[in-house]
Amino acid sequence: MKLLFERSVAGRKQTIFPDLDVPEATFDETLIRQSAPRLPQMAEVDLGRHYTELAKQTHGVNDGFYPLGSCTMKYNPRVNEQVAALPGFADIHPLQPEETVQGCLGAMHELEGMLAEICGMDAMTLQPAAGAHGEYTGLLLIRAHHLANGDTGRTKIIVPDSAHGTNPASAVMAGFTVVSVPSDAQGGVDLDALRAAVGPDTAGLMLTNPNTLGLFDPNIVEICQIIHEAGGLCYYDGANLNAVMGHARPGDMGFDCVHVNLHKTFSTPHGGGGPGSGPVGCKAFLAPYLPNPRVVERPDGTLAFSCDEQSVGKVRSFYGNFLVAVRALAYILTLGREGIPEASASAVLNANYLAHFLSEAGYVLPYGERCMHEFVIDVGPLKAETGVSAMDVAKRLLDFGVHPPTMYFPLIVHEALMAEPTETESRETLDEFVGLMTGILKEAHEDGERLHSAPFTCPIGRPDEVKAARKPHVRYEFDEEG
Amino acid sequence: MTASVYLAAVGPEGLAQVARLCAGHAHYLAEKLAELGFAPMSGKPFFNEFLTSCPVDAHQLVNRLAEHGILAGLPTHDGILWCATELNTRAEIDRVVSVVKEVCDR
Amino acid sequence: MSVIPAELSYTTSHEWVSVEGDTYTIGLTDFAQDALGDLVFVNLPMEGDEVVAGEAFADVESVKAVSDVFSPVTGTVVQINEDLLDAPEAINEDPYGAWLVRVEEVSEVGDLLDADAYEALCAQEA
Repeated sequence: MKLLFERSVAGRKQTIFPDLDVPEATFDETLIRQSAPRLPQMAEVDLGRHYTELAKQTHGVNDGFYPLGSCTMKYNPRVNEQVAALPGFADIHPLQPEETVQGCLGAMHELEGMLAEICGMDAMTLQPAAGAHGEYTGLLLIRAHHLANGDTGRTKIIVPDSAHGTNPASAVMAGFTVVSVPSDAQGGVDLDALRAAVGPDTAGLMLTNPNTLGLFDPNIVEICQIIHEAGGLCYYDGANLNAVMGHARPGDMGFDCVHVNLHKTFSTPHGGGGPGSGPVGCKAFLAPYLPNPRVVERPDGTLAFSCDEQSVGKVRSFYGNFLVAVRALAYILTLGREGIPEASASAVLNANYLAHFLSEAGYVLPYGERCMHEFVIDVGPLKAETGVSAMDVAKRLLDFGVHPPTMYFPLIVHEALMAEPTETESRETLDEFVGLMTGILKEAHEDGERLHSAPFTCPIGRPDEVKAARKPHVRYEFDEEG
Repeated sequence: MTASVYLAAVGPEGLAQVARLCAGHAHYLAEKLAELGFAPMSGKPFFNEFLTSCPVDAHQLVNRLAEHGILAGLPTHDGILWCATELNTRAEIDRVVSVVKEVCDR
Repeated sequence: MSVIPAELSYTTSHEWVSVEGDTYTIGLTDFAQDALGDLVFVNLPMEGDEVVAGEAFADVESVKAVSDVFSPVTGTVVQINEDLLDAPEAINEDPYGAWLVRVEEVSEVGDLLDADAYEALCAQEA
């Protein structure tokens, strides 16, 4: 696999810019480069083939099943792309006069309203760039609230031990210290431990429900009450919203603020097709603290940006990842009032289907077969018996063009594989996956040793992750240092 | 990734030509605006963006240009920030200048 | 089966301790390094830092996760193993040779297990 620099041939080019139609601007010599930048020089056909080759060596949702737990790798509908490409959305500048972008403000306003409805919140911001950023923003709201009340002693954020690592990290970034509470045997928050952990120094709680084990906490209302009674606020990590949207709202469970992941629940592309987007919603009493500016409707019906003095400030340049928001709006409009709850119900059904048949095939599900949109397999027993680990199972799946489930998360299950099929997979795909996993189980018992070297048919074998972490090679080195 | 593809597509010569077009167009615009009383503010070298004073109401000017389908000029607290790039042709720049002149003549 | 030298003492959080005079040397056990996987970074305290029995004083980062290392004693760090900063894999290769810190002025020693008790703990956790 060659790099662009290695395909470059001096003198090749593909774009022809017009000649100057005005006099050339002159600059002092000290401002002018002495040597040309070492950019690749290529013909268009070669450039095209280069990226096609890169794409062929990349596995995305478009290439095969992608049950990466906690990520909600659902299909990204193409109509979203068409809507986001409309010139009125795509060809604008964020500093254009408001009168000339009313449609864009309208799109933002509508999406905020829909997300607030789905989450049971009173106000939203679309500014945060993705999930952890949304968490941070939500925590800023909580902090602003306590400070406005003169409550400077509330320095602790409570986080369950099953939480995604971003939760405690965001809490620390926002200036809090983290208190971890254990999960009980059913995977929910241990209520006694929670009661013991709250006090006058409690700023709030961060929770996702269903949790990272894919389990809905039956005590959720009481959990939020315990926090509120101690004077704290409750933050909902919306990573798992795909399990409940349209059926249950975090606002009704007792949460005061939430973030959602447009690139998970609302079908916008992850990663390279992204970026992500992590809108934050809150109850009315927190709304004054939301990041500036906000979209407001004037008495005459026009829309405008407005700034609140009490705002925590900007958390992102301009208004967030606008075109991602447009895609999410298109998605919600496509699904509509009936489609949203149907999507989450199907996601849960697909996960339970897989959980049942994988359990039947011989995999250990430490929290039983009933789950919401995702579930955890414990490969520990298999490892004890055959030496085959979660890593080995995951790597072997790559040989069949299937992206493995999330490995080694949540941390409370060793040798975890967390699978989230989402609602956009057909029964045939799920059956095929069960078949592959069954086959791997068989291989583990018959020739487990071999699986330590899987995958066998991918462009590369297992990378040296330690070397990659310690000696990353991120810059191309030209032969002559010019 | 978009940036990588762009840079690979334009290459070193293309990027240099883009820069010449940007700088040329911006300086041409600056010269024509200066003739109308929009004095450059910093007196320092600029590439494709420059701040000028504004002898008329900046917001009204920008709105008038918008009526002509031209998105030009960002009002600042003491002037206007202008920009011209390789995407703007001489003819388009001349049109901007004529609309600005029209507003000034009022 | 992890290696558990008989002459050392152990904590329930999988650190080992050896004592020579007033100096306590602390490291990670074979069980710990195996569970952590290949280590890529080690964050050590500085000489002169105070450590407290039962509290985290360092962390190690493997490809999978960052894990705290807990101090078995309360005292002052007098020496850190600087070689580990460039070669954290030494902990994987030689867990009982790749010590993390040496502590003196020890005022409190936490609950420690002998080799047999630690072996029993590991058997339970495995």
